[in-house]
Amino acid sequence: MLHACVLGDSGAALLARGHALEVEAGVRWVVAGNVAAFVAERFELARDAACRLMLSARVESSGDTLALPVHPSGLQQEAQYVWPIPTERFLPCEAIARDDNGSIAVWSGAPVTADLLAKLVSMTGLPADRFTLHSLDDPTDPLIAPRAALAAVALMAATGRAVCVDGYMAVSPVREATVSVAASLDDEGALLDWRYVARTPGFTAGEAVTQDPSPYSSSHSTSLVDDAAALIPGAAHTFARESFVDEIARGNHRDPVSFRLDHLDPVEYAGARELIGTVAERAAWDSHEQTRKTRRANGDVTHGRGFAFDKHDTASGDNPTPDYSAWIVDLDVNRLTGDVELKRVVAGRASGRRRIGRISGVSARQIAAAASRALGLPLTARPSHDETQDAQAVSHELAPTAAASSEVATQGAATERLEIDVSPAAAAIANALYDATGVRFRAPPFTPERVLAALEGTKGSAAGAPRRTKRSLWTALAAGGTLSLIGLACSLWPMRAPIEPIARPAASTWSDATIARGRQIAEFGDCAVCHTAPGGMINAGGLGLETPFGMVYTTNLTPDPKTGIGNWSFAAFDRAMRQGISRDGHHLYPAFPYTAFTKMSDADMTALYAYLMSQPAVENTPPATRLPFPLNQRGLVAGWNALYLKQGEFKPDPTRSALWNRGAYLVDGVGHCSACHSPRNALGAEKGGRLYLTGGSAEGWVAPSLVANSKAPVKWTEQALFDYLKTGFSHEHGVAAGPMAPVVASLSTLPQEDVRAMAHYVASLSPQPGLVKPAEPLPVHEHDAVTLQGLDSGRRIFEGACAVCHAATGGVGNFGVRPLLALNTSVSEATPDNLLKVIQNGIDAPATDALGYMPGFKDSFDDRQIADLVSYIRSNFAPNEAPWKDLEQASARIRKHAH
Amino acid sequence: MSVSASAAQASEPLTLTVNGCTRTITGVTRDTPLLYVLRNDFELNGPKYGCGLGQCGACTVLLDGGPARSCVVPVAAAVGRETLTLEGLGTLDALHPIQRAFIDEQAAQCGYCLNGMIMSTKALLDRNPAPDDDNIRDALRFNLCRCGTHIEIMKAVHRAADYLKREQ
Repeated sequence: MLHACVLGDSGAALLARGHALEVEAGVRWVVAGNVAAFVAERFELARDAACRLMLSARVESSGDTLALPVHPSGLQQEAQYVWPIPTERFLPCEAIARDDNGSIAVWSGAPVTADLLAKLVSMTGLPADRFTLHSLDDPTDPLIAPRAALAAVALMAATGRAVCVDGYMAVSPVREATVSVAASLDDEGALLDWRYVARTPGFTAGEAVTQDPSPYSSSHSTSLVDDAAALIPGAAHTFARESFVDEIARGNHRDPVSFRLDHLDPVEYAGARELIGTVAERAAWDSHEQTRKTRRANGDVTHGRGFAFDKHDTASGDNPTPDYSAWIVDLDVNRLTGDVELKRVVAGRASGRRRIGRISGVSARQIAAAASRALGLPLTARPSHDETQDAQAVSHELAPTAAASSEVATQGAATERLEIDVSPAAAAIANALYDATGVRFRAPPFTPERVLAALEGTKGSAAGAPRRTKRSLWTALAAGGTLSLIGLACSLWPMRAPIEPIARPAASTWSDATIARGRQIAEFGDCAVCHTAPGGMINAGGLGLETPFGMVYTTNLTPDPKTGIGNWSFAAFDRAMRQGISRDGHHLYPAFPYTAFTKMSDADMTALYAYLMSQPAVENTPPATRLPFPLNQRGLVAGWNALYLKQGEFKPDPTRSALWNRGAYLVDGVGHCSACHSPRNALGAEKGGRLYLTGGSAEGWVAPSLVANSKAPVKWTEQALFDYLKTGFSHEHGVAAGPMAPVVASLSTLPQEDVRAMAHYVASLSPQPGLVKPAEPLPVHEHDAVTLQGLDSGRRIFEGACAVCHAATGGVGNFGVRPLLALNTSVSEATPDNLLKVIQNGIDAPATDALGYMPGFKDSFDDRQIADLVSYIRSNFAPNEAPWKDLEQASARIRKHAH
Repeated sequence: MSVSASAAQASEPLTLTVNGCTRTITGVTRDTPLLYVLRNDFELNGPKYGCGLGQCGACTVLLDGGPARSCVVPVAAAVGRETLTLEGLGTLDALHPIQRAFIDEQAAQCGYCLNGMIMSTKALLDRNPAPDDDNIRDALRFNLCRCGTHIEIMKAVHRAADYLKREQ
């Protein structure tokens, strides 16, 4: 079968060029009636030839583009933007024609109609009964499908072979649209004059018509569009307007977002303002602008961020409802190669005039398509790792894709509603490019060649730009040892600069959705577990954390201005969370796990701040933390930070699944699992690498290993981890107790997919058993008579006190779960501490109350009895582990330790 | 979250469903044993205080149909669940078949364990209407009786199963 690429609207000039075009061997130029096509054994060959033909036509005609007469506006600022209009569009289709001994079978995406048959009959002159038509379930453009069917039959007749038409090249007469915009500002920096003219050179039908004015208020405004053939897409207008507003704002040293907000009517555009506010907040638009730059700028790669907004009235009714969309783009530009690497897109859309309903995100597919068009290279987008899976994501991460660029170009017939969702894409990218490079890009696409050319053109003038490189601290340290480092740190940074107090922001600053999201993050981070004193108000601080260095008291997290964080700006909060520095500049002790929180995304950090600031303020001054000298020198923490604090957000691993990355983000970031489950060194820093999550301690409890060296008798599976984290109980492992109980109590209220992601990630850290074996009863351990005698008292205590809930069989059951000790990690651990704690204190606050309650036995049994019981449990249920020693002393030690 | 709840524990009224009636109790903390509330506040003295550690079974009640040792279950756990005590089985005029069987077999000496024996038998017969001797021994294994009426109790459970079968 031959494959064909048909050229639409093949005029005489095109036919002549088609004949003359040099093509690869095996490709033929076939003209049959009014159908012109390249045919070949393989479709790619035919398509390439068609593309080359189009390309040659473009080069030849490039000279006849009219230079647009630009009339100087006389206003302060003016600029001209160019929007490419694709001269040809490639439309994939499928139509097959085959001659079976005089009977012609046709398959196509067109419905089988009498009309189609009549056309085939008139084209070929054959009787109708010679045709058998089949309709393929194929997403071909409905206008193109019948034409493709006719072309397939015509080409079959011309070539004498079965033909498949796989593509259709449509041609347009116009190559670009140009937009001239000019504006002036009054003394107070408000828009005074706004002049806007858009046209399609070489295709001007004459009169320019007045177009909807820009949404930004100005004293005088004229908008003219000369586009009789309606060739200029809405996105072109958006690009010109949003780029120019950005130019004005930057030219006047104004923040582009607040400049726009100043020019959007607070009543008429209340909805739009809310959308812009939300998107800016989700993208953390104005947070620590300078640190963001220095953090990401690296030699020839500079980072930039751009904003754009669009508004569109749906045409129905007297009182149309406007649609809005707002985009914020983060990108890196390589100044040497011109490569633009899109990092993140935060895009939201909403409808409504003064009030808007739910703000929703833009689909990953649309974002990828729009960004690919603007950059001229194929990209894929996927929701950011910090997005929940159930809602339409607002924040997306982008990556180059290997897909052929033709697929990108064929993103065709999008509905109007979809178009407005992505119309700010090009302007947001152009504005981000300006932010990164200081060069204004006024014509998409922003391909590496064009970006490089523009940068080269301005190299001379950009020479004075400040270099944003920073000498690495590590380089500075290379010469000296750790001790000198600490000395250096103390002398250099005894105290960091305070961040100015602010008035407590009103809770209405944030949407309910943001606050709800912040609440979830607070639950993931279990803020309240440490920041609430026993019997105290939630998050008001004052819990004493016993560390190897002394008692550290937690602080008041409520928005009380005097004793809490009420006067902390987001910048102060963000610094505390990521660097462990209080608002007033003093260092916080690393008992506060900022080494983990530093990995949180900006969006999550903002939501957490919103949540905390919207909670009731509680005036409570927690006890001051007093560590002995020299640990009371908080400046030392600066040195500690230089050694152990690795700043920077979580970086997803592109080779892993979204689920895995989400899990890793939660486990290593806000969840700070390793704070308890990793061992710590003599300076109290978590040991990473091989020792990551291999078990640590928390409040006197052993925090078991989460990885391969786990003592658990049955290996943890993803499902077991999920059950355990979600309900506090895994049949194969036991119940969550001690400091893990409140963790599970929080997780049980959080989205299931997130808990699944955490389980998935943690499970991935150990080799998974091929098949999950059901828990097997352990082999009966043969004890000699002497051992038995020694264990007999323990056995009797077990039968009397424990067996009703913990025996494998017997009884009528009891309220709660029945944890089997043979499978319990605490029984197999290297130390008896966890088991002793549970036996003595019981479980009076289970993770979820369906687990049941365990009474504490410390007032019923003395240390001798507990030691007997624990030896019996160890020898009976963990027969392969060495017996624990000195259990009586251990029991006495645990007993002294407050519960 | 358990941590945050601790501050306002005592003042909060708790609503329980006991033997089909809704009853509200104020002035107790959430971690008060259910047994204390049943006996002291609701005057339901069927469940007995034995060991206080969930070992002897004299305090057994049913929570949502499952046996629970009410001396170690906090009252908060009964909120939102159906609590059934011995008083909810039958009355003096209309005894429950299990109660009748225990009287007919005279399966008590001091009788202190009988609440737990009867409630556990209820749980057993709900699950297994025709138990054999081994089933009964296994089911009542963790209900302690110091008087030695085990033989009578075995007979009573068989008779209770018989009564229940006939009454169906």
